[in-house]
Amino acid sequence: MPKSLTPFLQPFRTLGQYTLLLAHAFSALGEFKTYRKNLFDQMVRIGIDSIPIVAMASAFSGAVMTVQTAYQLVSPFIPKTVIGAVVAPSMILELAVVVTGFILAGRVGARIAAELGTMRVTEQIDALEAMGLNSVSYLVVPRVLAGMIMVPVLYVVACFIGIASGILVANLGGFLSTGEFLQGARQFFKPFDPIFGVIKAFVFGFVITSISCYKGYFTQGGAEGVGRSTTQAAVLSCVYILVADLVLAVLLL
Amino acid sequence: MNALMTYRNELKVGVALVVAALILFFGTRFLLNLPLFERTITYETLLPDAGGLVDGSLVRLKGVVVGRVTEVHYDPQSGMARVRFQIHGGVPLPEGSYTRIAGLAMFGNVEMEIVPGPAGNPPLKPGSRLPGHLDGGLAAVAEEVPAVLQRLNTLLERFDMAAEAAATQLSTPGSDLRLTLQALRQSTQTLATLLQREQQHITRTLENLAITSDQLREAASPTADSLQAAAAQLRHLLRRLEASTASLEQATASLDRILTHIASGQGTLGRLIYDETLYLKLDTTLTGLNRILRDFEANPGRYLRELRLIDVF
Repeated sequence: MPKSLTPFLQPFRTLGQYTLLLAHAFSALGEFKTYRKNLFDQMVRIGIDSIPIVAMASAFSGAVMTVQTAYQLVSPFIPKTVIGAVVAPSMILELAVVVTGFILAGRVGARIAAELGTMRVTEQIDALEAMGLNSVSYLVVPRVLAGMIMVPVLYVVACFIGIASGILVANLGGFLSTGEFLQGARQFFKPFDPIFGVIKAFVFGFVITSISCYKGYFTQGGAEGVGRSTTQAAVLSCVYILVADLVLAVLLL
Repeated sequence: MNALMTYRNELKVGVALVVAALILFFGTRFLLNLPLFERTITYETLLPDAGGLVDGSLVRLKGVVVGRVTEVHYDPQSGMARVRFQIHGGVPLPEGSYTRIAGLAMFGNVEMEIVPGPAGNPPLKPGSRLPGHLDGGLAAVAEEVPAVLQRLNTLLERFDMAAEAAATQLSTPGSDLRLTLQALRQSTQTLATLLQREQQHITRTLENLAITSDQLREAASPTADSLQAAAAQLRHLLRRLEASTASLEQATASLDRILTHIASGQGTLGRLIYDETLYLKLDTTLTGLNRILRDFEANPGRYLRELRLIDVF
């Protein structure tokens, strides 16, 4: 194969490697005993431990969204309830899940890539394989499953905190009352909105953890390689969150 | 306790999942304006035109939100829009209730309104199908639009004709309107010329008028007090005259009443005037009295002798 073709073939090689890793991981789903303990450990690390930072970020998102919407809608012909009608669906459909995704990409994605990358460069993964343990089943599956289960939980928390902070700021800032906010929020609320948000959170959880596991699992080049994998995991997770966001919006809305 | 510590992570995850599921469930119901713990009743309706109704649209009864639309789809059998909706369990719908569309699709706030049947009717069973009407709302407006547009068109045509006629009048050299406007323009020009020519004279006249007014004001100021006093006296005199007139009117009324009595033969004077018997008796008495007096003058001793008083003297 000519060496000049390598840059063009690299994306396909990466995609194939990623797909094979996931195929291997899903084929190992039945080995629940292998990853059971690790799964709950990862769920706590990814989900429970992230609640404070996600809650804080979503609280500020909801508050800022409310203030800025009130600042922009100053026309006497636009009722105040529109602020609620803008803030609540925005939080449910987009802000809560995307903010949660970005925070987890930085916090969880980087950690997963760093953990697996370090295990790779210190040959711990090779040691697991030498002991006859399925390393993918032991390391990748619990992280990906934990992300897919716990990111929707974090999304629900982010929605609740974001809308509540929006109502609080609307009241404290004198923009509109709780009743007016809820009237607007209810006016255009559709039952599918939170379901769509949960689906997005589920997909984002998969995107963040699978990309991070892939980058960490195939780390090369010692400590420098670990750093590179960590950065790539965080950046690629953020980029593919946005791509997945668009794809899901086009497909489901 | 050891078991709790062993499964500490599982416990945390389990609690988080349950709490998230509860928030999602009750939060959705809260934003759907459905009761959190009370049961909901599902009904169905067939509408000739859904008018933009979607899953999640509000359902109102007498203007109050009582539920949500849960499903909207086209029904090939009936050729109508089949709409399923949930309302609060505590809101019974009597038989005879029907649904209709309200709101404007262009603003995204299409709602379904329930018009309740007579209050005495038995309540509808859950899952019943309510008839859908098109009265009111957008459908009625849409039906009226062609007629309104036709009227507007006619109005615009008339306005156009009037504008054309006015343009013709103005463009024809000998038209009345054009002649009138020319005459008006001439009059205005004449008036302007006159004003310009007599401007100095008018100014002088106005100055003289101002001086005369000042002089008149100065002359009137010393006698102002005397005039005021005279006016006060005149006012007092008028009040007294008014009181006298009232007394005179009262006296006249009394005299009139007395004369009425006299005219009707009441009272002594009335009887004297109108009762002949009394007059004759009086006349007879006076005649007798005259005769006695004449006899007394002629023979006083006949009458004085009988008086004891005379005896004393």
